Amino acid sequence: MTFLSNKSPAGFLATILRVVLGVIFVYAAWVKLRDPWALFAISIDSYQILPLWAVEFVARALPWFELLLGLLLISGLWRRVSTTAASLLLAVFFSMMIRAMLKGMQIDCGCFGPGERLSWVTLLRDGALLASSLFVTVTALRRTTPPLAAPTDPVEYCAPFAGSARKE
Amino acid sequence: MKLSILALAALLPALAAVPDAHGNAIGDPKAPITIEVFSDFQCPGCKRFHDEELPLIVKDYVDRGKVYLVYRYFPLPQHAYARKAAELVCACAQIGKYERAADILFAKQDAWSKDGKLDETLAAVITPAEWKKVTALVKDPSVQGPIDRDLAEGRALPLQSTPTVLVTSKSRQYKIFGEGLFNYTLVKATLDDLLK
Repeated sequence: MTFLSNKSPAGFLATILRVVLGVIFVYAAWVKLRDPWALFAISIDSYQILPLWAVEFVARALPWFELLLGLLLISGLWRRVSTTAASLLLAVFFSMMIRAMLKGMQIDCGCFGPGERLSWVTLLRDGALLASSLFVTVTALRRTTPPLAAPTDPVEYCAPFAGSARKE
Repeated sequence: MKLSILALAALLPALAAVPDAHGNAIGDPKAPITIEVFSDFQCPGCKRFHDEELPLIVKDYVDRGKVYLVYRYFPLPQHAYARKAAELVCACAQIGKYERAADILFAKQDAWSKDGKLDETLAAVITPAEWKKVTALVKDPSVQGPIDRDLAEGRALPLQSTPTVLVTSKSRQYKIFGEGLFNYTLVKATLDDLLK
């Protein structure tokens, strides 16, 4: 079971944060997918980073990627890959927002559909999401496969060999 | 939370009906899409949108009955002559001269933004007799009212920059602003998608 298998407080917190991040990614995808894709493209284009063909590609593909990522984070499947991907994606978003803020651009954040202005509040929110995601990623990467239970009775464990040795 | 509810409450009338227009709208009010442009006559971005994007939207959608276009007044406080310009254009709209007044003010924005000579600029498109009517109307509630109403509705959105475009289609409203607004390919793709 991948949902609440961590017993330490940090592991428990990481699990909660991972699920919350997953829900946020699913919501972000849903609000973009229900609207015309070009609305999200307008938000992306406002950052003035990508050429038009790339803006169109990202606007069409990113919401589906966010949906997949969200579902993976919630389910706990491919945990290392999904948490790393979430952290990288959030780092890219955060960098783009910092750049836009430093350039004084008054633009649409594009985080959860159209209409939300990029501000220190959106920056703080995405920063918190990035910090949470990094914590979840580090926890997932540190998590090692638990060792096989040590045999409680070595003699019993080796009995067949011991038996065959006696015959000789 | 309370602010959000108040903003939503302020928006409800706008969502429910086609916005009032007094000579500052073009197209069919029954068109499937309504576009409201919150604009400041002294804002360079608004000039760019008015000169480059609006003619294309009018040609491709308004003239074909697909979009009802409403101009909304949103003079920003940091622009010294923006309120005066809005008052004059709103008064011109009362006598059926909105488009000509708005066109000339945007065309000559660089000049009157420095010296504030709005009357000289508008003299190129209205007759002396019309000018008398316009100056008489400027302080009238029929001019001050729409501007104050547009400002209040814009603030309730909330709207922090101009130009901002509100697109209403099938009871849903989308607020669009920023550099992407100047990419007609994407604006067209949005409108085409909404018309499907």
